[in-house]
Amino acid sequence: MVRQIMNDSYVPGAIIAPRSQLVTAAHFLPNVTSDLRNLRGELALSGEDSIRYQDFIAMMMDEKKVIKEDNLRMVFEHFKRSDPDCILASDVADLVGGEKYALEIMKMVDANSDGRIDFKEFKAMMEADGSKS
Amino acid sequence: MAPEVLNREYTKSCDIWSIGVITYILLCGYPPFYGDTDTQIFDSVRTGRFDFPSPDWDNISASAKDFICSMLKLDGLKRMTANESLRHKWIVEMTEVQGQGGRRNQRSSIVFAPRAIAFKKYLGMQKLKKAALTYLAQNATNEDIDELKAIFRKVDVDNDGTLTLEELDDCLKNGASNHE
Repeated sequence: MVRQIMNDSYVPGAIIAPRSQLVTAAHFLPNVTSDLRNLRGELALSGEDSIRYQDFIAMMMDEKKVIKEDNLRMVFEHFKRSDPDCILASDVADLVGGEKYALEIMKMVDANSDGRIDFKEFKAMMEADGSKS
Repeated sequence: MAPEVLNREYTKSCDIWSIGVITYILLCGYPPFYGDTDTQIFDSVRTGRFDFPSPDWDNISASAKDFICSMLKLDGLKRMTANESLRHKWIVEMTEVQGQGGRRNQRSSIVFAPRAIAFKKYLGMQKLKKAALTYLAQNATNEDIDELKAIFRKVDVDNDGTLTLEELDDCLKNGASNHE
């Protein structure tokens, strides 16, 4: 049987799906298809008509695998601009597009109310479940 | 090759037979149908009879054996379809991802992270956390993110960096028909 498959240049009934089809099928395993279907449904309900690349990845990626110490350090380093150790309210305002949002966020995240977000506070925010931190 | 191929009357279900044979060989190292000559091999295929000899198969799971049995059905109509095979217990078990309550098979290449955050929850998420997650989405590396990128590229047909409802509909339509 193995010999048959190896030797014959043409085996009737050998696996014949063209390459492109194999790639598509691999990307649309049942769990992927159902995720995309859910996404489509929720997108329509929300009134949005499209989703950006970075939001798609951010939403679909497994938070448990991504929210790790080294990754959080990387973001923290990227987010803090003027203070060497902390993210300031002004950094937050730049990131989220406005003083108003920044004040709300500081109220939630800045646990010791010193006007700055240190790494511990940042980590707590990222690890907290739910939309409120 | 499948029994019906020997009679030159076959459909694509003969490929499922081939996958069954290949899976069998991958698990034990020898073929399910054999003989000293081609004629003997063909006769063995025509009977459709095979077994899982001890000790080689003693440690192979029952779901793996069931997967093979469902593919090596003499009657092509009774054989599992490609779509059914993706939902077979063995495939589902071995491709389960951590966090879905299953153990994860590191060797499997068909791995996909379950959707971690529902869309509505994501939209309502506190903006700083959302900004951090989108930054990670673009800068962190792991295999799931690579796979998500590949899926996104596939669905984003016009390659403009956003998925529209239309693109999602098209891909769901195509995705569904590829299983038929």
